[in-house]
Amino acid sequence: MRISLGWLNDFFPTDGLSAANIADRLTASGIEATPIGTLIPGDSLVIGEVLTCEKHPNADRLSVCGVTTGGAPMTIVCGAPNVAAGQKVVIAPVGTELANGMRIKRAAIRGVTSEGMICAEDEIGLGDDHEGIMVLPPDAPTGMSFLKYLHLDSERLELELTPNRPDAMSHRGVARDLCALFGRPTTNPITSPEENGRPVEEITSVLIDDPEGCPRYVARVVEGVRIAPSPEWLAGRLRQVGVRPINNVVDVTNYVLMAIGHPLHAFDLHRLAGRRIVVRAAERDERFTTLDGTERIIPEGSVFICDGERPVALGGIMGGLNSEITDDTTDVLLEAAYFTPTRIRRTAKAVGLQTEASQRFERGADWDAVIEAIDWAAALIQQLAGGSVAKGRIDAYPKRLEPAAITLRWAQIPRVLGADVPREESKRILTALGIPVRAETSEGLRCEQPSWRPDLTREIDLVEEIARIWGFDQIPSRVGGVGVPPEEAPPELAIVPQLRSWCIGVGLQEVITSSLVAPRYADLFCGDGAKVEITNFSTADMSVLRTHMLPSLLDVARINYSRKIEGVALFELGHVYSRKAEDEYNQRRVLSILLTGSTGQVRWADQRREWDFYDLSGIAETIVQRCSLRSPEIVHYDGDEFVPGTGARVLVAGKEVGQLGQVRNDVCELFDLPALAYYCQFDVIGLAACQATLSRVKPLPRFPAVERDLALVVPESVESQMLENTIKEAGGALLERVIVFDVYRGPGVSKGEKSVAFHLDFRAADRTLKDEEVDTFMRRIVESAQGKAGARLRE
Amino acid sequence: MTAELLDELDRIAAQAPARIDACASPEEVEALRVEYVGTKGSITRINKLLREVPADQRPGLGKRVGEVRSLVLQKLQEAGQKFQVEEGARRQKIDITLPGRTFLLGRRHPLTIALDRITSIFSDMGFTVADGPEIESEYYNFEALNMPPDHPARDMTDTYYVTPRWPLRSQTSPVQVREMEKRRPPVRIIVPGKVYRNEDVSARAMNQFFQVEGLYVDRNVTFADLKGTLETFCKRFFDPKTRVRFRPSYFPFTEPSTEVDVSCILCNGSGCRVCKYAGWLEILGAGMVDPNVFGFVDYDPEEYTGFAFGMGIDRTTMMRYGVDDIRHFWENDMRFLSQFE
Repeated sequence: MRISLGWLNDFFPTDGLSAANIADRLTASGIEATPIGTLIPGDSLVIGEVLTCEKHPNADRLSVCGVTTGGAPMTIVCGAPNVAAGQKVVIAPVGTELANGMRIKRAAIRGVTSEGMICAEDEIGLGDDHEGIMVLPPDAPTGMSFLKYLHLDSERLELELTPNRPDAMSHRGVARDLCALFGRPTTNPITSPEENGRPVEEITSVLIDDPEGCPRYVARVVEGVRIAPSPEWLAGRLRQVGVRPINNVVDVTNYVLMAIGHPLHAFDLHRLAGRRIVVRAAERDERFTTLDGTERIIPEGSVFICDGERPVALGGIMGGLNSEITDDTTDVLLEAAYFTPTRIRRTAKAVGLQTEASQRFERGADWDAVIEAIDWAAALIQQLAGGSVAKGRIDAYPKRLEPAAITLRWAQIPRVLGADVPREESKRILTALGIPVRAETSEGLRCEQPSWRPDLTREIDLVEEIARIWGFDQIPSRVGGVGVPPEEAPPELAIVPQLRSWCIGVGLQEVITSSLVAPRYADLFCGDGAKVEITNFSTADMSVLRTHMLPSLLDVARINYSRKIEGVALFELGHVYSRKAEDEYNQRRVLSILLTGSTGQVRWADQRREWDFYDLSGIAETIVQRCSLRSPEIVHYDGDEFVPGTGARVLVAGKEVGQLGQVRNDVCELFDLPALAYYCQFDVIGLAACQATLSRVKPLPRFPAVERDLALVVPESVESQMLENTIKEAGGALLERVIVFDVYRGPGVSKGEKSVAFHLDFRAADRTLKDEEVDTFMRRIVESAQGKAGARLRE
Repeated sequence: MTAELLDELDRIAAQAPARIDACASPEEVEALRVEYVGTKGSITRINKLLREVPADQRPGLGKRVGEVRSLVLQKLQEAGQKFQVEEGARRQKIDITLPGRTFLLGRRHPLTIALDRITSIFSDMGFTVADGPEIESEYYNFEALNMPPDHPARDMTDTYYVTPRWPLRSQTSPVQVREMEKRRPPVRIIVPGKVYRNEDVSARAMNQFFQVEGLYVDRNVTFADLKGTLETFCKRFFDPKTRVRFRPSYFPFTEPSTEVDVSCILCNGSGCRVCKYAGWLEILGAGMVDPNVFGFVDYDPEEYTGFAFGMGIDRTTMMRYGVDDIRHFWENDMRFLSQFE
């Protein structure tokens, strides 16, 4: 919202204060304000008179004008078709910077030196008109600043208002805060009409059928007005705050709105059937054409302002085309009403209309300002458009609005703020803001809510008012005042940074991807339950919560490949989402890892190669090892993410904590990946559950180990983990360590078989083992491997 | 035969030390090792012949073989060591500037770096990490935060909905309510997490981002504690010289509410393009927990007070590193990510 300092001065004496002073204090007290200068730039625009106007000697379409701005005549070359001698025009002298950023320079135009420019509307930022230059009325004083002439010479502020402050959506509202901040008294420019007409009851009537939606409706009538453009002072003020002038009657309602914040509406009395007003709730599927010319379906329960027959305005939001003021209007019915905020809000949202009126009513207007607003508007219409103001006003007020009574205990101020505001100062602040103090005791104050402050109903609200005006910077800072023993974060959260550091340690780059994905990605794999869709998405590509992490990581690989980064090793700690049942949703934190393409090891000493399955399973093993202090068990799993035969479940102590495998080729193709991709995912809660910490260290061995190598030839179908388990079982308690150190296929081993070589360490804690003992263990191992896996010793 | 062998041993004992000393290279030493004690060496051969010597002469000869063998081995070892020392002292020809074998460490995502730092600063001040669901009920996302249906503050954010009653959380604040329901004061939590806003994705805006929420509720918690805690945070997170400004504002779930600005991290307050020549950057929203919120979790507002705060980290991170397009964080181009520590 914009306000003008000149206008503000009607309510608050601004003398001695710059726009920056005012903006700073407002910002420091809760209304973010930025000085934005005058409506149009160019202090130097000045009114001039065209003395002479002749055709340019060297150009058909140009004129050479002799112009004065009060001093010696100067020459200006002008291209407008409508320029003529005797006109009053707007001159931009050399040096002026125009609204469009153009700077006026002395320049020779086809051989004639021009010392400025005669401006068109669009060039000075006043309108779109570029048909010709702007021609001012003959009485426009030559030499006067053009901005001053149009009443556009005031500095302005742009305000960012929080939704709790509808009262500040006007010059008077902002002035109230300023009075409290600067300790100056408010001033009051509001006038009352001279009631020189017949009694208003003889002319019209108001009936409220919907007191819930419209608790109060005040009407006045002005008869015999003459519709005309507003004078420059009024039009100028409206323009400065972004309101387009229309005609004197409509402009007055907007003027009062921007001045004191209460929305008004003016009806053409003759266009009201029965010349009366009925306020009722809209029924289902009623149609209505608002004065912007749009026919709308009005939601049931909206507040309709009707005449004797039909709706004439959408209450609190916008008037109707059927009753608006036209050039022929002579008699005006003015409306000043109070509408219930939630009712206006619902309608405005449903029909998608945000108007100056709806914005105020839906946040809470001033229920007592209706009287001031309608009186002032009637007085101004009388002043600008003539006519006679009917005697009295109709004040239909079926549902009285009562201000809240608020008790403020002095003790609450330091209890909340940690600072004791002097009592006199607290009282001064509340009074200056217009909050009536009804009684004062040693305990505190009994106050009343002002009708314009819907946000002030409780003690804490008054504490805030005092704090924001007194100044947050006056409240001290306290560090470490009260201590709370820190608690442990739950294990599933505490493990997250650890998982991240392990992933980084094994060389993975962390990524963060969107949880919102395209439906085709969400449908790619089975999730934990039904997918969760956004109902009000803006792009379909981000309309579903992801069910699986793999598409997100593949998409990262795709983006990188498309930029010639041909290989990635990634991890993400993110959520997958599902719907378990009606109103029951699940989000599960997953650690996901993707390897694809080149390992990135490309220097002279590196081995250049692509990521493979065992890189992935090794990373998975490292993470499980770190987390649970034991090796995982890898078992076959036909997951739909993986190439059949490559999928695996990762088990710790028999519990599944994750899955891994080579990503299906058709899935890679969907993401344009030319290389094989390997994917692993862990359930973070599962990992947290198997987390182990070292309880006691093992004593260092005092006796040497006996080392043996063992190469077993087995059918291809026998897997190493099974062999290893067999060896461990048969090896007995003194078999300390088993390592697969070679897998061999080739000469010496027949087709369909492979040789798996193990390195074994045997050790006893209390003595050096004898070869004969170890020989016995080895025989047992070989026998067992023969029996269980059909293995034989490799010759 | 014994005498011949003894003679030969004497000869070896006489000649070997001098021959070994005369060696000029480790290769020559090795050749002598083979000649004397290799599997086919002279001493080895004599040793094997011991079996054929009459039993009574065997111990004497055996002793002599042992003596000579020890002598030769010792000389060989000495000579070997001499060459080793010389080898180690000799200048080597190695290009020390060739890049070493790479060992690729991974990296955290820049947003994680920021989240981790924030979390750790608040952990130091006694805050514990907590968490909550992103698909949140309307009750927690709005109602229990003092935003009943039709409350104008619901317009402050554009919210995504899964059903009319289930939004995607538009802030991390619902976790405040959930944590307070779980326990009695004192409560001191920090909540890093993802939130959603229904916005068109552009260089300046993303429809999801990360927030950090904080809450401290106990007896005697005041606005002065809020200021002290957040000033400490800002000075640690940005710079000890950072100035911090508290500006009254409005949030439905705090009263009084404040925006927290810091002096611009790029221009230090003198005004630049990043701070739009204001000298200040808005980085936090905070306030004293509204008594109505305590009503929803059954805390007595006459007994307890508290403060809450929330901040988005994406924009701050953009400013800090001069990232001009927020989408970089979500695209994960390796050339972007690999620039961060």
